[in-house]
Amino acid sequence: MTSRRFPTLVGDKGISISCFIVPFSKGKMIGPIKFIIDTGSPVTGICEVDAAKFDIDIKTLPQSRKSFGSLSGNIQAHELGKTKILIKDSTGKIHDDFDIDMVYVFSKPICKRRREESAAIQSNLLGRDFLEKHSLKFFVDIKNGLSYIEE
Amino acid sequence: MSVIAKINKEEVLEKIQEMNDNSIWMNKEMAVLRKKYPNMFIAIFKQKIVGTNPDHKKLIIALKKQFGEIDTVLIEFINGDDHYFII
Repeated sequence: MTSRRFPTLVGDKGISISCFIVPFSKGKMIGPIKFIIDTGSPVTGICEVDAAKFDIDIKTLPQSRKSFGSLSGNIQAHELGKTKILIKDSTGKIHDDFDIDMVYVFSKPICKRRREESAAIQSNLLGRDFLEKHSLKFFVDIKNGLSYIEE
Repeated sequence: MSVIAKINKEEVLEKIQEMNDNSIWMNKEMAVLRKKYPNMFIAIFKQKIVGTNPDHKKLIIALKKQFGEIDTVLIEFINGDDHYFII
């Protein structure tokens, strides 16, 4: 079996990939969502901007018991649950055999003083959990603007 | 049953491409965007700015009013020149 390659974009805010998600709890497809590939994050999550854009009401989701620390301070997170990810390969084919055991929805920093917009997590993060679960490799050549995920 | 069987594959591909095109355009225009819209949320649709607001909720309400469906509108926070964004 030949390995699949998934192109990613080198941009000002990081390396990103646009894909669709299907949370098992919702049973409907949401997207396209632009994820920043964040190897510094052990978890995958959607920021509150895209949650609002796609009408994901965090009040209907269970609040996570885990605490989340970021450079913005401690933030709240809700659990979207197990989620399928639809991802496009370099040939233009869509693959639906990827999933993540838990996708979070990140919301405001807990500290009131840090609740301004610029302090909140503004990006959707595709974390190490995704790369690890599916044994994916992540290649980056920043200078030449080349990057991709490969099996 | 595979999710693929229930979705319109062409539509998914088209929307991912639209999002990528908006991202590529934003990266190309970033220096200008930083000067024009520092510390604002911007909305990009078909490689054009279609809305800006410092409050993402107000921006999303305005966009939904204008377009109805906004799934291929890219919404990003633009930092000013004097501000580095770290995840």
